[in-house]
Amino acid sequence: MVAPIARDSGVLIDDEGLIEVARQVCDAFADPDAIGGLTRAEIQARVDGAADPMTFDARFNVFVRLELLRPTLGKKHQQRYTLNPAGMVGLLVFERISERGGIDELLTLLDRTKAALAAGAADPVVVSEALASMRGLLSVYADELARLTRTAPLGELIAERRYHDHGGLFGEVKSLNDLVSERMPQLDSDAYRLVVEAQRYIDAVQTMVERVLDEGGEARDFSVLDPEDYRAAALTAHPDDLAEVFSTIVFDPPAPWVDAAAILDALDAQRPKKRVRERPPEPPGEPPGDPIAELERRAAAERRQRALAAEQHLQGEAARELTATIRGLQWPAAARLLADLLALDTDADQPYAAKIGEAVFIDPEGPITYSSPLTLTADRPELSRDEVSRPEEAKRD
Amino acid sequence: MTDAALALAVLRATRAQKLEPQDLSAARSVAPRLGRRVVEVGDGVTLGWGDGDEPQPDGTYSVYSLSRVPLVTFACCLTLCWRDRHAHPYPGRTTTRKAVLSLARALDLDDKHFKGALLHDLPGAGLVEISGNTVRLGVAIAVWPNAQIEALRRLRDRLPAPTEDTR
Repeated sequence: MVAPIARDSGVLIDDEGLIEVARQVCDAFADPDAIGGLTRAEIQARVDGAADPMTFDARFNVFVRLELLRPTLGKKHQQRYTLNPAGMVGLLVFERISERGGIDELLTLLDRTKAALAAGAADPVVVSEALASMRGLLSVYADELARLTRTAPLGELIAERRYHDHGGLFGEVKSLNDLVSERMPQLDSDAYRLVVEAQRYIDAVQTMVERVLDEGGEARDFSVLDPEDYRAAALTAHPDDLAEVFSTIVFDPPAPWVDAAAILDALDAQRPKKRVRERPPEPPGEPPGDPIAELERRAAAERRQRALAAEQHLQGEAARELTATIRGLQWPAAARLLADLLALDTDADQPYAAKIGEAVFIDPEGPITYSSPLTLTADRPELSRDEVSRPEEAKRD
Repeated sequence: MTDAALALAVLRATRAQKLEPQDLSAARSVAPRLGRRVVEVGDGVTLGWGDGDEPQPDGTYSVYSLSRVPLVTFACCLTLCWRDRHAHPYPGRTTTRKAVLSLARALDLDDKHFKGALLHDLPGAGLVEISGNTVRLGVAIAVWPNAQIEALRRLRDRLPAPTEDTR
């Protein structure tokens, strides 16, 4: 399991870059075409770039000796190897510890112990050993953090801080303590000592963070906090606290550009020109009279005009065929004549009637495409020409 | 830091300051090289732009400017404080907040927005100075380019006319 980080059979590597070789060897066996194993040359080809040939050879031999790489057949000069899963797991564990520190392992143990207690499947001896392990780990970390806070430079503290960002740790320890008190009261004192060490560890973390913030703030070291911390401060902190950051920074006062054009434009915008609507002049013409009487006069004139036109078509006859006349007209004159004749036909005060036959004349080339026979009749006594043109004078006479 | 650099930084940060003679002399000699000029205001000095070095709003960069309400409010202050149009507007006459408010109301300016402009925007920009009830033009006017002053002289009829109670 320790092969990825072993320099030799009994010594660990002191160059973290050599871990990359182990990582790439493990990745080489993850490919689908690695089924059945890989030869040394194939492995070397897949880790090309991670190490020079001499370094690769040295690491390869360590991996074979510590059985990270195992030959598929127990024969000397065997050319094909498979990966030991334990070694791959060891690499993962080492990488996780390197990334997150050992507190993650404590949390894993804590969760496992809680789960076993909650399920009623916990062995008191196992729980006692777990409580002792966790207490020991927290005590060691608390002492280490206290030492770092006293002696380590700011950069090292900032790097160490990211391993101790577990806000819910004390809550988890407290709930474990409650479970132990409930399920295994004989271990109550051990659980209580775990709570005490957890509190000491948290106090050590707080002290370290205070030193990081104090020194980092004075040095204007913005790497002290994560970007998300700055964002949260910008959104939630009091403006006075945020302004304090720049209390020793000198700024130019506001100096907006103001010129005559901008002033006058603003005044014009503030005092828009008002458009006064004026009444349009009255149109010249006759003084207004009775509009209804005017309408009636016009209607009577139109009726008279139609009657005159009808008499012109009748030429004094009582009836006359007007089909040819209509078909000889252009459009819309033919339509106007037809409309006038039909108006006379519907006017009860007029003696005229327009009879339309059922036949249909179709002339696609002519001005009137469709037409029917039309006969105009007049049921009236014969009138003289004077009476037709001047009926008012004729009545007086 | 040299005396000139410190003096110029002080003038930029404080807008107007009384300098020691040697600092003032150093600032005057260096300012033109930075496109600036030192202008006397009262018993101190302030920093303005050199002729032809002032910001060009129509250029290729944007320039911070005031919005309509502060500009109209400033126009009211200018009307009341700059009575002699033949003279430079700064320092001009003093007026009162009430007089400026009266003129602003005649222009249909909202009271709330006008007060914000008069008490915050314009003093912050150095265009006016408020002392109790007294209003006067600020040091920013002392370094106004002559071209702008001349333009306002020619177009003074377009500035707000004082009302009866502000004459």
